[in-house]
Amino acid sequence: MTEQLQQQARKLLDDQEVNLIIGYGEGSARAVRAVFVRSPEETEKLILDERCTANLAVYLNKKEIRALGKPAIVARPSVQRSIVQLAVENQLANGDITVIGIDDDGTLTLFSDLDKLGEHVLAQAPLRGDSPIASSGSRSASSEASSSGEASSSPESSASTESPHSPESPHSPEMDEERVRKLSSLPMEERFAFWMSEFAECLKCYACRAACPLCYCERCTVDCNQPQWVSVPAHPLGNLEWHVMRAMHLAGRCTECGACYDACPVDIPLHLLTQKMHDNMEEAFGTSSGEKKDKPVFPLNSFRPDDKEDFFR
Amino acid sequence: MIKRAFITESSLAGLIGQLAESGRRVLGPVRSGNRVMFKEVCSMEEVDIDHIVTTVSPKEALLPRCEEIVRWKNQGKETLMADENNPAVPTVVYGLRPCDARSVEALHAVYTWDTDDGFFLSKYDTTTFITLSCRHCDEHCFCVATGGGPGDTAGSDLLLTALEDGLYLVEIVSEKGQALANEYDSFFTMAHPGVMAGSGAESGHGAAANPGGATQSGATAQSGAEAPSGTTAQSDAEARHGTTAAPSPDQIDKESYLADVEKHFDLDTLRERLEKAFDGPVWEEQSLRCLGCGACAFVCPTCSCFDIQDETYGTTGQRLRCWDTCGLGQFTIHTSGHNPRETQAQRWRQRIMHKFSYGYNRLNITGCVGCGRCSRACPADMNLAEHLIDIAGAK
Amino acid sequence: MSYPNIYRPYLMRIDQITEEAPDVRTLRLGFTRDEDREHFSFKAGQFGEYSIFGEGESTFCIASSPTREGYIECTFRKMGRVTSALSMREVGDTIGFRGPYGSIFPIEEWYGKNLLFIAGGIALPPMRCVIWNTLDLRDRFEDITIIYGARTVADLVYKHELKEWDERPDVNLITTVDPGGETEDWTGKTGFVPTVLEEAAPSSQNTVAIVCGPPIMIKFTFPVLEKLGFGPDSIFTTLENRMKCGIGKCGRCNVGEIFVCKDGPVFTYAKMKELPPEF
Ligand code: SF4
Ligand code: SF4
Ligand code: SF4
Ligand code: SF4
Ligand code: FES
Repeated sequence: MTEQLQQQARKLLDDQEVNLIIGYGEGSARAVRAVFVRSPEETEKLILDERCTANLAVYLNKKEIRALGKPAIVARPSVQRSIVQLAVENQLANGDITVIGIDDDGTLTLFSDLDKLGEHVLAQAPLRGDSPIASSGSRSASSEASSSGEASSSPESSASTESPHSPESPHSPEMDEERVRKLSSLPMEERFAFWMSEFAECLKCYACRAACPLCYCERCTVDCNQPQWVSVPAHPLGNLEWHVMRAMHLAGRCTECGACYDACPVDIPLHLLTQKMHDNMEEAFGTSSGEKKDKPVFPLNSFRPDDKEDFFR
Repeated sequence: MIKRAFITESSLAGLIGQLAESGRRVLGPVRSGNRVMFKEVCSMEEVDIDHIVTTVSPKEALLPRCEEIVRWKNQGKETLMADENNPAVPTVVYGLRPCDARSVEALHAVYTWDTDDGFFLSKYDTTTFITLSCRHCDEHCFCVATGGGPGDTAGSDLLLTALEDGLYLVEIVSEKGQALANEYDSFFTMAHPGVMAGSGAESGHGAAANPGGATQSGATAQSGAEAPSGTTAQSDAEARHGTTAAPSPDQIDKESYLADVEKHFDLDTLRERLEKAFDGPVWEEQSLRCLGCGACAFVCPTCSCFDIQDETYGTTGQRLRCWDTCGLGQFTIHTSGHNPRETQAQRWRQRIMHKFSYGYNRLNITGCVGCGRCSRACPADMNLAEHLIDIAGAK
Repeated sequence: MSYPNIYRPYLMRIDQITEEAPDVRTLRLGFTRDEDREHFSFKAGQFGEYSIFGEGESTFCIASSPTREGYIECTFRKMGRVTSALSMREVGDTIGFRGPYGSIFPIEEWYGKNLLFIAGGIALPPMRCVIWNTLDLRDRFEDITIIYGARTVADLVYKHELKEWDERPDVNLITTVDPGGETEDWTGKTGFVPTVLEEAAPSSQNTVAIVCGPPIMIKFTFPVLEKLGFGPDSIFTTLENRMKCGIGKCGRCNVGEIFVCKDGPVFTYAKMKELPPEF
């Protein structure tokens, strides 16, 4: 799989189709990291295994990366969804990027047409992060991933442990779904208490924002001070405001990659909020993010005169 | 010479309990899921021992993530100054690591640079640090390269090193540490409660409070340490103590109980290289994958930068100091929109330079203690030690 | 041990407001407490943190001369949250001030020399402080020349004082506006400050130059001064950077290892040349 990817990447660079490849490379202490490959020789750095789950789409918004020219991006399903959502929101246009799609079964497909990518995503399994790439014989490194736990524990089985978030066990879609379900079933007071105690730990570092491909605003509401919409300090009120604001701004746009949760240094499961919002939006408006539609709908951004709510008229 | 004593596990638990009962705020590492944070604790049972370092550093004891620095009241058109609600509560921080304790010196240097910052200093004056030396480290630790080490005493008031079988070696590093040892002398002992027994027999002599005793045994410590360490046939403990008799605290070879942290780079070389590195390509190369998220600074024990924010509630207002970081794009932006540090490469350079060059040149401190928290927290796998090795090793 | 609160501002009363240019005003501030007034002293070049309680603090230099005791003045342009709030305040209102902070113009070292002041736009305030300071000690200096330029005539600040300086026989004032910024009755020069400076070609003999202005003006003025024979040690300027604490703690204002709030804001060109280009 890695070999195929490297070949593909090399070809794209050789043909001068793109200026750089945004992909995964070997990191420190068994971690993988984003690499930015700019020459055919460097394509050797690219890897692809079950540890490659970070959402690389976030780099598409980065000024410093954009300055390097046209990228091709290694895109697991969650990255594909982010890209489609970015396209829907007019942040990416055809021709801006080339997508090296890697599906859960390991299939590699090249997309330069983002509409095609949209159709492809629609045909795939629904939302909720990436499952580890399914075993297709090429998963040579899979046993390594669980080396720190019991040798027998597969990523799937680790989904049932109670502390899901560690480098050894990236949060899984099933796990997240389960947590959302559990939280939703709690009485409101308990739910509120849960979130307040989680938010109490928030440092307001905004790593969650920086890691989210869809938090691309040039000037975030929290950085506006005339007026100061959101209280800056990391005190209980300020933290609550920030998280409510964040969840609302991502409602129906979040593609459920979990990058925000991965980035949070204090392990606040804030991705569950946006996931729940997504469910609510789907229920109320029948929309799903990360899917290319003929006519994109942003229920919270659009206004129709016949809206049944009248508070903003 | 640093005075030494022993404390058993159960005495230590007793001490923590008593300290909490004394009305002090006792902060210790508490686990919830994957996060280990310094929290107020009443007993040792709440304290987590199964971590390398806490998720966020203990600097919050001295520099809360947000604290009131000015308070006022509005009376009609008039504004009146009021006393700030930001008291320094007598505090004991238990279970921080030697790197954490060392970081306090770096913070202190900044907050006393020509002008004394009272909010910091009043907390500093009333806080006692009971540090636990490290028996384990991970791939992110690089304290030795920054001048510290797993048993470093700098910045600690008491340093505890876990020996075997529930016994700790106590090093009384500072006057504050001595005062605490005096006040609670019954918990400390000069006599080893049995090398292998691990019975934790209490002696309760209060020897630590007796400076004479400590100095006397200091003499034997010399001979103890220099004694041939015995043959391979001897038990582990015997080898460590160089004697079969129950050793005195001064006879303990502390080093043998510590984690083995390699020296990743040479600090002087790094500094020399940094002097000439400002315009180099290394900053852009290293920072390309950095998201500019700030997580690294918020978990860091030595990061000291802050923002000032006003808030009003009815007729009362407060000016708050909140953590901030040079890694965020907004940090240096002028009202005009001009930003002296526009790119992440510039901000990454500032972070490294501030810690390893500017801080040293101006305040004679190294603004990094090698705790590795930044590398652990980073969502983009920016590994600080790796980057520093790169720079120090570059031609 | 108890420590004084270094962040607690003096309460100041607005005694006078002068409209200088569109969105630019000068406030004269008096101390509300006598003991504050008596304790307070500062030197030319220093700055402070001015606050509107509930909005925050903003950094400006003290624009009045230390020779005029009992009050301070600041001149600011309405731009951000604090300056917007400041410009809503009226005479009699209280605001906060803490300072003075930062380095000074070494005026005593300039005794017996010619002074050449070069300023652009809203950067005249730090200069105004030194100008009045030296004019109040007029006999200790030789020739005093002031070159001041702004984008348009309307943007010139301290108009009444410009008039006063213009009328003084012991001051040589040259004012200029950018091409296109002149009005019909404009009697000054038209052209950018560096160009006007080059034309005026003041002697560098026994002269110190003091330059304040937007970065672009400074950038083009230094070479002209060097051409005129000014050594980097006899050119002084002030640097602006985003500040919060003003006392070397918040870590915001540094340029390399130099902290603008502690080591500056006054620097010689010689020192500026050593700084990395991060301001
Ligand atoms: S909010 Fe979180 S889960 Fe949703 S798209 Fe952004 S980073 Fe991914
Ligand atoms: S990453 Fe975590 S700590 Fe940082 S702002 Fe987001 S929720 Fe808060
Ligand atoms: S910079 Fe990183 S390793 Fe150094 S003290 Fe801070 S968190 Fe620890
Ligand atoms: S935590 Fe990592 S990605 Fe975030 S600012 Fe620090 S180095 Fe950059
Ligand atoms: S303004 Fe805070 S350090 Fe200079």
